[in-house]
Amino acid sequence: MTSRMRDHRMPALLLSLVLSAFFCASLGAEEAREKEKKSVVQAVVGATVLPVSGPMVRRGTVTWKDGKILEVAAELAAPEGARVHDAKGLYVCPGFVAVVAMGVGIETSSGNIGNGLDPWDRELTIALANGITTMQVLPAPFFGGFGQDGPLYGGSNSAVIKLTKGNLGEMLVKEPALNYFSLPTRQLELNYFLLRERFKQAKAYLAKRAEAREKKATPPKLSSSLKLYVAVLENTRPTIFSPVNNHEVKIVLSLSREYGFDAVLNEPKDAWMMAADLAAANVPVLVKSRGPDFDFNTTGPLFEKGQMAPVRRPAAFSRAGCQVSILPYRRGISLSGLAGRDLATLHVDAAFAVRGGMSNEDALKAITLNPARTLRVDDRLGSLEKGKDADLLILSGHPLDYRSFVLKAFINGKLYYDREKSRIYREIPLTGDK
Amino acid sequence: MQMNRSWKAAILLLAVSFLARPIYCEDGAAAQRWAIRGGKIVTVTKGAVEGGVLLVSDGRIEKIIAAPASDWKPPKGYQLIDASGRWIVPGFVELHSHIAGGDLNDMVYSVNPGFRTLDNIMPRNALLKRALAGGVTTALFIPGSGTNMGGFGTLIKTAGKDLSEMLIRFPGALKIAQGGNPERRGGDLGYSRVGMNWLIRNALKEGQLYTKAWDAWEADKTKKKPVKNPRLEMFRGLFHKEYPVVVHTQGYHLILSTLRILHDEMGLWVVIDHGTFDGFELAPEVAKRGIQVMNGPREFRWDNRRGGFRGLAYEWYRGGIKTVGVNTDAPVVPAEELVYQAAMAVRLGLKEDVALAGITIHAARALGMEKRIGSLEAGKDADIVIWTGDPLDPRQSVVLTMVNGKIAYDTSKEPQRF
Amino acid sequence: MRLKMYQDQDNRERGRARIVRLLLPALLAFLSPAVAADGEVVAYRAGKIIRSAGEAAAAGILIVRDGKIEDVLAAGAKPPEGVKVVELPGAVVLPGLVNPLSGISQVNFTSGPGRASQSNSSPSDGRKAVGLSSLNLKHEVYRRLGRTGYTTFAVVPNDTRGLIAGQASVIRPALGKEKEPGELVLEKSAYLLLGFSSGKAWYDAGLRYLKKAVDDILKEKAAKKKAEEDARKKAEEAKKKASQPSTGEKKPAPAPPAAKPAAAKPPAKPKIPDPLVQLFKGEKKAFVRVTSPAALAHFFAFFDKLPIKFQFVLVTGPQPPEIVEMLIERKKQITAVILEPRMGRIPETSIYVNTARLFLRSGMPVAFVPLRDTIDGHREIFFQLAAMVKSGVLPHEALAGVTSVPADIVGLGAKVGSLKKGGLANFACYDRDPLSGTARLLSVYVEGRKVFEDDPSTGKLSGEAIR
Repeated sequence: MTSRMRDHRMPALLLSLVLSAFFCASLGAEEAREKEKKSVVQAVVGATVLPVSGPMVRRGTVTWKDGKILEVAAELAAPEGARVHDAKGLYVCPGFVAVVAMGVGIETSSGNIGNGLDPWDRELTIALANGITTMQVLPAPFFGGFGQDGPLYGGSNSAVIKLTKGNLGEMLVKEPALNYFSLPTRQLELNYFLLRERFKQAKAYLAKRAEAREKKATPPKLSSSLKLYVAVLENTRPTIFSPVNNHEVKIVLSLSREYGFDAVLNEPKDAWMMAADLAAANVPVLVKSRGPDFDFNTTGPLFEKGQMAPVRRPAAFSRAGCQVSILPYRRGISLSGLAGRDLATLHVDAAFAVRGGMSNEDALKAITLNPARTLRVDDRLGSLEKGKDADLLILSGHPLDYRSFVLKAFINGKLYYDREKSRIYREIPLTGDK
Repeated sequence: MQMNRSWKAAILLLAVSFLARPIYCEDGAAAQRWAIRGGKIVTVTKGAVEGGVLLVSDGRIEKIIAAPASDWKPPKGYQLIDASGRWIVPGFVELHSHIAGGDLNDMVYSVNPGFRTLDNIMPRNALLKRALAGGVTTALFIPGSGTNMGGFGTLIKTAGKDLSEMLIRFPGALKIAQGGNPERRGGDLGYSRVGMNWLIRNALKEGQLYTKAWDAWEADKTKKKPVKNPRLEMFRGLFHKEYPVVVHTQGYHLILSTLRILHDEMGLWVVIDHGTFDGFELAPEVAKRGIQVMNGPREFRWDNRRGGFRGLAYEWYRGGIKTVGVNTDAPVVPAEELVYQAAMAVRLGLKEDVALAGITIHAARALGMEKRIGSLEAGKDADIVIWTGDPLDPRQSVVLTMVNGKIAYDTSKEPQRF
Repeated sequence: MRLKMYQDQDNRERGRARIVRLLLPALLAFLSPAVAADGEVVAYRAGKIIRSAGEAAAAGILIVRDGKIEDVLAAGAKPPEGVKVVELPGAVVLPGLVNPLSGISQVNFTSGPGRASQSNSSPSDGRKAVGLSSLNLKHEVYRRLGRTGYTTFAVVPNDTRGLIAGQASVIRPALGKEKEPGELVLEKSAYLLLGFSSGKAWYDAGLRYLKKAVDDILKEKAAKKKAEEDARKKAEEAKKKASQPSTGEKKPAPAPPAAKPAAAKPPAKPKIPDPLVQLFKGEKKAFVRVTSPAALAHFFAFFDKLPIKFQFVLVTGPQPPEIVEMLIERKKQITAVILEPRMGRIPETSIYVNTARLFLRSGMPVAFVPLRDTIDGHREIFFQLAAMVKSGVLPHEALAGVTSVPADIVGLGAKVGSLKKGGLANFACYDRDPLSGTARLLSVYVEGRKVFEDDPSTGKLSGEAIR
């Protein structure tokens, strides 16, 4: 740009440039989407494919059509007429699945989540740019609870969403996705007693209902306070508990055994000690791979006696045969400036699990297939297999490499993120592959 | 099926860790002579040496044998540490740490040049132990940023049986906070930045006059002996540039006043110890003055104007601070994650070797300690960390940390801390 | 020094003002063409007349009779004999401005329509509320409306944030002699305003209200169809019967008996039609206010499921290009857009975009409403429009956005929004091009009567003095 052009027309010129660039980009995307509607076969070729459900495929090809994966194979030529994405030297893996997230893709969380989704959310774009294609979201009270003296709190308003930017129609995968309980820490025994009582009532109700059905009579009325407990016992979706100690873990295990529902443990601090029990009971765990930060207790012991460094916990569970899903360090996207400490680096949280002894494969599984299983959406998501949703990432390096960036993210076979066209990482150069 | 595989993995892992575990004599502390063999020696200053031997004696690095003979045996009295397949890296230097002992913000007065962190240090406290597991061997333990002048910090090693063994230098540096945190107080003097700048300038001017008076006395230029003032005593070293002032300064306008007041006007040895937000816009000015920037704990900025992330360390580097480093402001970011901060700087654009140098040799130089720490060179302190691989990769962990030639953390003896 | 100079000037002016004030009654009596007698014809000779946005401004003479525009003559033409001529030398005459969506009838209404926060209010049903009913002539605001350059306001009733906010009434500024609010009204029910936000409550309410209206219509249609079918069958039977005995006879006109059963149903009382049902039948205009991108996505997801659609004017905030693009694709449903004259932002950035310009380039009519829905807010409109022009809206588009477009979308295009023959003599006089940003509003006429004059010799806004 010559200096002569630096006059008062510059802002207008710049604006028009920006605008035209924007339009070109977005029109391009629109055109692309239009094309995709006409069920064209698409293929990624030449990539190192990590299907998660199977071994790594070098120089692999993944093909898909109408949003479903057709084939994952090595050295497979793209079919005639297919739209080919050359990924030579790049990695391909399924989109990451984040559990117990919040504040992403939601405008309002009053009532159910599906009606409050925001497909234009900025945080959604950032999460997508970092490889998260599916997310299970919970409302805010789940995290805060009501403090140690609060009531026993539980609910079902949670959802599994896909981060289809700008496309509300394909966002909601499942709602409600799971039940959850948040127990006040004080009077824990009492609360578990109450919980058990409720389950008894729910069980009695279910028996009555079954009886009524047999007789083809009208089913008995279900009180609104009992609805959640009946839903838990019906076990159409898993139930999350957040036990603070192993005593609680035991109670949850016994409840789950007694009433036959699937429990999921969210951040069970010391439960690695009873990892074998959890594995035997088939109870999935959601764990963080790094310890608590901002701990101003600078004089305390390293860890409580017998505790395990957080970085080792995922591996401990995994070794015992538990289904481990790695939780992000923080639930949402944070733009405060602390890097690598939120949903934007879920893959690095998995890398920390490798540091603690997990294998690369298991760690990748812990942010893809395992959470999909835990959420019971593994029939569609979590791995690259024939017939599953074409939710996949093209990455600049191994998905667990801290330097890797998502270059393209596809959801339901459609391109929703393209690093080259996005502003998010425009100022950040790609570092070399290791 | 899954169980089976994970068992296999576990056995394999055990086997691997058994084979690769460092082997050395139990009575290592007495001997204090080590031969670390194999692996990749990352000297930082002089490139990497593959398959060399690093000799340690009397707490110092004796020498690095780049190409030992195939039948090389450790000399007598040296314990062998087998580090084949590992990376041998200098211990990291943290320039912004609050974790060697609590109680760092005394917020009655706004400027507290008499305060010192030396008396707060708790050797072997829990967080320092974790820092060792992250490869951090040196930390500048500084007062908090609750007031404009928090006092004098202490430069310590993160391991040692008592303070005398840990201490590198006191005063390590003066801590000044120019904005942000000190603004939290309501109503009294220093509530706004005019007040803060006056307070800082006033205190420094007082220290400068005090220093000049003593300088004149000591140079026999005056017959009037100045009165000793313990509150101002430590300013003398500061104005003699024996130690730097580390400044909690961030954003463009704060860094401007850092440059103007602390560097240009007072002529101090300045280290910018946050430098976040849009501070990097001033990089050329900072570079011109030869000021070191240790960026952190914020490593990125969401740039609204461009609608994207900016890597802060990378932007400083691009702007001319070729020696940029990072910090953790521990415990804001846990102390053990210093190298993870560097890794994030790499993710956000910085080159790997620059990032590593930024938390080793450049950080050491920022404190004037480049002759003792910050790289693996003969004659330097034996602050050596053996990693399973590239320390920047979060998948790699510390196997062994040696501080002053003594083993401070060893995963073959205790469970992995981080 | 400079300050002192200004003070001196100020004092001088103040002195001058004192003289003028003393002479004011006499002046008024002399000047006053303010109240034109009924049947009187007045010719206004102005420096420039912009008859309608987009037309070239030219010097001319505006002939007004009975509060209506009789003619617009070229500057050189001679006004008819015996006509009172008012000279407006150098003045730029515009059609009076039109606000298509205002809550100014409510005293505490401050937020702009495109910005109204909807998230905290419940989705209420105000379909029966009419803007007219919330007018309170005792409040001075109605008399002050005229001092803004605006001469037409579509006012919405009290709860403007409900899902069905109510029906808008179109009013003019008060002249001070009105006894009934109805005297201000040009159109009692110009359109129905709907609002939509994301969230379960809005969804449920939307289903409850809109779906029900649709169901009612469908039921009615089905009933009608059935009735017709029955009638047809009856008629056929009758025809058969008729044709069986005597084939040669002429047809006994089957239509009247067929129409009878439908007409025969005696309407017990004159039923007030449900405005929501009218909406779906295309008998009532609709304005739909959806502000956030997410709410837009939800609204259209919901709207697309309705078996019957309606066309509407979209009231929205400044949107980023990707949202505008989505909206433009829906040209079939969206007839026009109401925006505030401010910039939109590309999400994730602070890169600003002129939303209005994007809509206008795609051929979508855009009406502008002031940023603040107050008297001062209305007075500032040309500052904001000038900013819009600076960033790409063409001057005539900006002008149309406050005159002809809003007049058309409230259905009063024949009466207001331009200086057409037969239209109301609502016009505003500025001392220069109003989009220049420094233009001064000199006077405002509503139906041929001056409601505001800014006397340059006093600097006094005499809107209240002259009635």
